[in-house]
Amino acid sequence: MKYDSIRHDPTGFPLILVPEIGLYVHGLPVTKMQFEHFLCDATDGHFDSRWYDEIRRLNPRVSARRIWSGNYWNAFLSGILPAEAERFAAWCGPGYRLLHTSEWQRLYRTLEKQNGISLEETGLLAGLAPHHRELITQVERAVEDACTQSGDRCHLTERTLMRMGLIEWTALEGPSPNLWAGLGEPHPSFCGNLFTPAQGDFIQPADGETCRLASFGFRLAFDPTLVQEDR
Amino acid sequence: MSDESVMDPESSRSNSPDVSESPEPSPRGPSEGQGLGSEGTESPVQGASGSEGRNGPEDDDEKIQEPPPEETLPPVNFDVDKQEATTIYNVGVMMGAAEKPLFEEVPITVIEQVKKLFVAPPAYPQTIPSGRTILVSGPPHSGKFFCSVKLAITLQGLQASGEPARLLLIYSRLRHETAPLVQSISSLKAGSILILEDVFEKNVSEREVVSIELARLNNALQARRSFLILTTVIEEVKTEALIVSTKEFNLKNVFERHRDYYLPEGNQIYKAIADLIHRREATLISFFASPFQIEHFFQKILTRSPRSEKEVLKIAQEAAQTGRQDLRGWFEGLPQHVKLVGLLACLLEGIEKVIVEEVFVDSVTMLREQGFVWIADLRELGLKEAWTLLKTASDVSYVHFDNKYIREELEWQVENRQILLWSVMQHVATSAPEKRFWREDVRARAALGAAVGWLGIWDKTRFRAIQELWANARDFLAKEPDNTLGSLPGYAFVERLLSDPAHGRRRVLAILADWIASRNPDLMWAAGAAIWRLYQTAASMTDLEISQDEQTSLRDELVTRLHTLLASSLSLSKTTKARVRAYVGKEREREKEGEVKRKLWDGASFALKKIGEVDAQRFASTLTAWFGEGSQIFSLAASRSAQFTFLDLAERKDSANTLDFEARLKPIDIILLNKSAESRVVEAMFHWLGQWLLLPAWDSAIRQHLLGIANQGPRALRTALRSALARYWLSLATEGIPGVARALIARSYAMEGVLTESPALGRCLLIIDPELILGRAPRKTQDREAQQQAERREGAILQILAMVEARMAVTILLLGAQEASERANRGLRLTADLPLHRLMRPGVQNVAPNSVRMVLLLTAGPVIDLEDGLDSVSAEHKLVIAANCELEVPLGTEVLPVGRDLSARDLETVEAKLRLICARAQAALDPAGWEPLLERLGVSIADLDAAPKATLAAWAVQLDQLDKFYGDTGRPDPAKKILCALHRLAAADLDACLRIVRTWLTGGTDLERPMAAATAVALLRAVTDAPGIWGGLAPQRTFDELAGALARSGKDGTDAMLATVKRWLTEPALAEVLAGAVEDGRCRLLRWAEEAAPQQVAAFQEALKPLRKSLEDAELGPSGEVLDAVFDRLRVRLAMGRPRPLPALAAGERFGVIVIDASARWGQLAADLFSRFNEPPTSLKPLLYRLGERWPSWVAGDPNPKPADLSPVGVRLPRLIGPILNELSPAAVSFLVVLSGEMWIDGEDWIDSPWRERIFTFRQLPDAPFRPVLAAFPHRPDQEKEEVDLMEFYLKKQRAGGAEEAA
Repeated sequence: MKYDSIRHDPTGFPLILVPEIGLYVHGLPVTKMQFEHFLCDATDGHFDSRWYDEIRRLNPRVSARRIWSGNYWNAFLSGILPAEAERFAAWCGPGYRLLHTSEWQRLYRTLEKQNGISLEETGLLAGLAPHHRELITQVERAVEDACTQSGDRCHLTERTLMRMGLIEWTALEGPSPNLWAGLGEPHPSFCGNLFTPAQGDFIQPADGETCRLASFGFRLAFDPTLVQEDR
Repeated sequence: MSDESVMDPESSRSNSPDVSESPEPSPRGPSEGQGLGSEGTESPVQGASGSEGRNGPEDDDEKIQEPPPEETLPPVNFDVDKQEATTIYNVGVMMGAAEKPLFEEVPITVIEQVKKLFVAPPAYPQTIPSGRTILVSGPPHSGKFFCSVKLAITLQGLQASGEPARLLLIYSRLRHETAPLVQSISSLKAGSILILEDVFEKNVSEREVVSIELARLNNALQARRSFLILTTVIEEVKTEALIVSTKEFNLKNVFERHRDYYLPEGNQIYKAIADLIHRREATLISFFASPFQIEHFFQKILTRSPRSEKEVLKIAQEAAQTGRQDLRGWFEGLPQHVKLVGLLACLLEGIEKVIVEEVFVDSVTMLREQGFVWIADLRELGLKEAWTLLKTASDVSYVHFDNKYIREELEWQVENRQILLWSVMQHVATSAPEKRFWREDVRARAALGAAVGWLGIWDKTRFRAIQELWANARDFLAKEPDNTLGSLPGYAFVERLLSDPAHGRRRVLAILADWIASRNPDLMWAAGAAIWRLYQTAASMTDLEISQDEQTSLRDELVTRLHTLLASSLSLSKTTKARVRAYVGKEREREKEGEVKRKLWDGASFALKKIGEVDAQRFASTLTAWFGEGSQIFSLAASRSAQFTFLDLAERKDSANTLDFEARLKPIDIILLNKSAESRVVEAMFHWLGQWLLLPAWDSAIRQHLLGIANQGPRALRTALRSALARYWLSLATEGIPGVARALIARSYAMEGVLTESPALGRCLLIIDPELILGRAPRKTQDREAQQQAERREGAILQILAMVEARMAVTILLLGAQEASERANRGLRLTADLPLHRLMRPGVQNVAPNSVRMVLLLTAGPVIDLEDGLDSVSAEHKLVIAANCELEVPLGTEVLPVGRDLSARDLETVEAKLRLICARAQAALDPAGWEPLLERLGVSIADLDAAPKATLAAWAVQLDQLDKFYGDTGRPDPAKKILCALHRLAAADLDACLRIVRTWLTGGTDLERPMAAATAVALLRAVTDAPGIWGGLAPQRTFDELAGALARSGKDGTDAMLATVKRWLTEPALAEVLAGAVEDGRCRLLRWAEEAAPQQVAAFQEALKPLRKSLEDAELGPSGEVLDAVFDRLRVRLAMGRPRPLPALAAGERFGVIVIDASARWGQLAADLFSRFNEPPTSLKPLLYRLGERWPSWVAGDPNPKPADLSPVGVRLPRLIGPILNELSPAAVSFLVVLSGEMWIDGEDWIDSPWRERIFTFRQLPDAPFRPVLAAFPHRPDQEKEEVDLMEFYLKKQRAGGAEEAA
């Protein structure tokens, strides 16, 4: 299959339209390279070098050329707090936000049905800058290798790292003391996990809003309905 | 006001404490302890001032005594202050009364001679043009003086009959006079014709007779109904004045005219001589080159009566040789004592002859005591004979040489015999403190100073020693220090400068520096008194023989010295303190020290004032600098000098038209910005302006200047102007001035977007509870205290009524009454005789007009039918002011609780509320609501609607037109018309209004821009007060259209926007507007702020904290988080400076990129390296980034950065290069050098890209994963220059060879 509607966030990384949920969604969790644009552009007192040192301490950075099946999760931004992820979303512009828990789960189910196609085939890599393309393809290759090594399938849920990736912050709906919950299944070498997205399990860390968790990253959705004329 | 002991001898009055009770005499008398330095050795400061400062300046006084705040001083007393100003004026605004220039009448014999002998040169004018200054130019001895006298006689004859005859005067300008001509003639009697010979040889510059200076000179002459005739040997003077040339004189005519005058035909006595001359006339004429020689010839003829042609020819030959050589012989032939009198007279020319005689007697006595017997015993000498032999003017009491050749000869002899004169004058100078006449006669003192200054050329040691002796003779310990002596060095320094500008300048400045550093109050005082005299000399039109730059630099240095003097005066040296303690005792030590310091401060203030007399520009800039020092002393001195100046100017109406408007009015802005309206200096300034406003020449200049402030601000200046006008001019009895003040105040408000005349806002129904005034007790039973209380409350209610009436029509109803209260002759009655029911509906139904905008109920208790009453009337605003009671009001009605007694604070609360309601009502007016006011302002609505833009532009042009503004014509203010018209337009078509305002703000004329800023402020205020007006989304539209342009308009615009933002942060709906409209991750507020902040960094830094506080105080939900992030980001942005866009590249150009790790120590290196490439023309355009920034901080063409700017405090950027490289194309970059001590985070990402060839590191980085891949420069600790040289060399070579070759 090939999705015919791709858009790019301000860093140049692709989002893909998922008609089932009516949203554009990042093809992969947000990478460090993406977030670095925000860091340098926002020039924010909070997101300073110490902040990034701490993030990299929790999950070291890897350059695209050095990605392999044993470290590809290093390319993604994790250890982030939900409020910080929202700041990034706000920087990306109107319409960008974190996925709701139900949306993530519906996305998962939608992608689960897409067997055996590569990211290239989805059209996600079209028109990317060379560096971005290199990063995404390197990650995809590493995930394929990891799946091979573990004997797992490598479908679109894996290639988009809804599995074998990070735990992703999502906005919790309904009555709950928490606002945020984690969904996703990391690579066992990155973070052991007893939950599986397929079963709809999500994680609600007790102090997730204040305590950095190395395996927690995020991806953004773009909701076209949120973009209305401000005037 | 305290008296002053300023730096001039004539102003030495003081209210200093009486120290005469001290039994101790002054430890150092005027002539004690200041012996002259021995000959041939330099006499440093220490030598002349005893032990004071022997080892350089003493330690500081540990306790710096600041002056009392100015406001604690007594108020301005114009009588006292005028007296002080007069004192200052008399001692030398231009020059003191005793220093007036010497004007003598042209001798009648000369006039007669001219009438009979003068032969007009060919260029002699047939008619005299209208100019008041005439220049007579021609070679030496060509008859310039005769020609001048002839012109003067002609001018004398031109005057109207009935007028007193004009005086013909000669100006004997002395060698030490440096005052410009325009100042010198201030002493000229009205109706005079003044002749000044050889003008440019007497400290007068050619600039004085050119363009604007000539115009001023002519104005001053016109004011005195006088003329000035100048002679010069310079033939090509560039002047607009009439030039009469004596160059082409006809000697034959001159000869014949002399012959006929001296040897008249028919006179038998001279017949034989006349025949002799007639026979050889042609030969004789050929001998002479000038009329002067012909005159000389005939005078000799008459005295020697030749009998042969041979004798006649001999006399002619002698006359033709007339010149200096003859005078040399004349001088040598004089008796010895006459020679000495002549030399002294020449040195001291201008002073009374009796003083010269006294000096001469003293000198002869001293010389004879020293064994110089070549001069006869005094008893043998005839002084009268001496004056005759010296050919001085006999009809005046002072020394003056009529014959300029004699003066020149004597001057030559002074220089020739300076060794003798030094021995004489040293004695004279040393004994000066003991002689009464030097103290009493300003001109004598000036002459003495000048004499020593002249001789100072040949003996700098003695010169300096004498100056220090004079300075110390002032004696700061005395109750009244002798400032006459302290001022003497000033005259000497001026002469030193004039006689030998090149060397004298350096020596004088060095002495001043030493004196100021000495912390000796007398030397410091004398230095101050000298500084202004030197400055006046340097700033006058005198052509010193130094370059213009050197002359400017001399003035700069003098002002710097004055600054140092003032700074040094804050502390006294230990030696000085010890002397003070010894003199007055320990208990009065502090008091005396304070007095000594105050005299120095006043002296410095006075010196600045004197500098300002000749250089108004410098005065203004120094005032600004001193006010900006942040020191109370400097502020006080600036304020005092301005005050002296204003008081002085107020008294100088006669010379007003010789002064430059712009420069003289400049201090107004400075003083208003730095001093409060209550201060004495502001009072003095408005007193002066009030006086000069009555002068036709200044009237429009002053009005225009003040109108300029009202129109173009800045805001702080406008506010200060309003405050001062209200205080000093509004209630002034002088006709016209209060009107000017009112007009200016109204204009200045309009230029801040505030209308002093508001549109009718409809009707207010004001319901007043009588119990609010009386309480519940019947009036008759009230005691006196209760009655007073009731009166106070009634007064408060009337105040509220006045607040409402200022904006709306008011119907007043007493609670419970059936009819509206009406004003009667005795005012408005707010109580009833009988108790009324506490019901409002019946009355409301009776009196409520059809259209009520507001219902305002003032009550002291519950109202029975409150809900029904309020519901029964339809109004936009319903407000209940509940005094000391709790009420339940229906929905849509506001309650404002206040105290029972309606205190001042309560009234403020009520006023604020009413102002807000009215502002909202005004904002919500529809277009028609503005029309009555516009019509009242004389605007035809039809004309306005026909061509709105053109009409507005025409009104804007009128903003600075005095005739459209001032006066009693009642003409409506164009600023008000513009504001009203634009409000009306906003109500009808907001976008059209915003377009006009924005166009004016960004590309309007000088008058349209401030008017647009005022309108923008008013519109923002309106949408803040009433966000729902003007067709919806008004805040968003107004912000988006105007915020950026308003902030760019200047600090006031930025401040207005920041104030708007602050208000918006308190309103959730408006805060959401600020947090909305996100583009590229930046909300509306952030986008605006990031654009505006770099231009007004200080304003933003100042506002950031209060804005954050507002944000914290408000409950804004998600918008609050966004805005919090905005302020966090702004804080960092302000620390880092403005990111710069990439400059465009022309063909063949490439970028040279320097990236610095801002957290490390590479600032200096980066700044140096950037500066090497930042020099056009070059094909390499440097860009300077910080690691972790996406855009460059400096680009080619920017001023080179300072190292400190490269590492902002409190900001730690992530060390990333990727975002930089993403924005650049490798092909456009020649090199990229990264100044970092360690590998940056994302270095690996770019190793395999084309960037590798372009990236240089600084030394081999220890943690670089691919060390050989990137070229690295060697690090050379302690060899910074070589390091940069090497980098520059390779980076420029890089274009040819590439980084790999360099590696």
